[in-house]
Amino acid sequence: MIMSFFSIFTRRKRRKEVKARDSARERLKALVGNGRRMVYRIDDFESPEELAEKAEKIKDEIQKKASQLFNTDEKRVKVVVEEHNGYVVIIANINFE
Amino acid sequence: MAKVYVLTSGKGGVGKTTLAANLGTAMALKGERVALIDADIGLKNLDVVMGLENRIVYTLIDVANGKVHVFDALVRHKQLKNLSLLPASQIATKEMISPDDMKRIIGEMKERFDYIFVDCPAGIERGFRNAVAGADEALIVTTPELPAITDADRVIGLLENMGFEDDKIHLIVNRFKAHMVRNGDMLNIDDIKSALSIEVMGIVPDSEEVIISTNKGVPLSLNGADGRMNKILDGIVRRLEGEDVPIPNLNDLAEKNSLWNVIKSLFRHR
Repeated sequence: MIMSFFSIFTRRKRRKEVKARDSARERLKALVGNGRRMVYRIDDFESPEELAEKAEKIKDEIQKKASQLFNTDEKRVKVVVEEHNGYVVIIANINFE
Repeated sequence: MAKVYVLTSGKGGVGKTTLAANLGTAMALKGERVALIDADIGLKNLDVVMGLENRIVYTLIDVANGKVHVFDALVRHKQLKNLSLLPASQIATKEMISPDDMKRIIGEMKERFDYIFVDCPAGIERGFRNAVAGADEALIVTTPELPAITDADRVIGLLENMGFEDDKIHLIVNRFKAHMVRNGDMLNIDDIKSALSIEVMGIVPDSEEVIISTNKGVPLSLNGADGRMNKILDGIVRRLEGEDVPIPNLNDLAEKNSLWNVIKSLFRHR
């Protein structure tokens, strides 16, 4: 009985010790404090021009093949080559009438 | 020529769509010609927040595919004729539109508007790339919580990588609770600002009125919002227009518990 009476005060005291803001501030510092979170870039290509050149080639190939397979105009096949955090992503949209 | 702002965050549920609707409306009330673009294809909501969901005929996808011209797809607001929405499709996917499509569409819209706000989907993939493609400046929306702030940091890094200068990236802190900051239970603006190292464009307090206006489909400025929320939105709009308006302090952001409000709340509970 006496112990539980004192434990009320102990718990209250503990709660006051660490404020949510202080804890969040420390964790935020650890998460983003040392500059922006890493954004990767492709380094397999020596220059952006090289990537752009290869992107154009692959776009042409996909447009040709997709228009044949889906029997649609080449202009209706949209191909986008993007660099996403260290990966080359190719997205093809084939539009029909 | 319109100035194009994209509202983005990385994390979902921080209030991008609601802010886009409210800032667009507040800007239109000042007499500016404003367009809102819903770039959240597949999970569109801007039309619902604006109360325009029953007026949609064509969507962004129809414009991207060349089915209709962008001006035929725009939905005009019921009360504000200088406010329009380019809605997103619910049955399409984000992959069905490309960043080049967005650049072309926004390029066509720029001549007829003073301001364009693009509502970006959550995430940092295709939808994000589409939404930021035609934007001049970015408004990073965050709430004062760690997951939202760390995602915002990631998005800022991506935007910088995509060529956005530091002065073109601004921060809006949404759902700010002044009483929690006072009690030491929430990060304050300086904590967030120093973590993200970008300029604060606005602080929007947490308010029940936002939920009410969203449910009604009437943006805050048209819903007879209290003076505090109107003043805060007006401050952000004026800063976007280039005016030097001070950022509100904790007292400005706190909900005023006047005697009249207390009496009203007593009756509301019953």
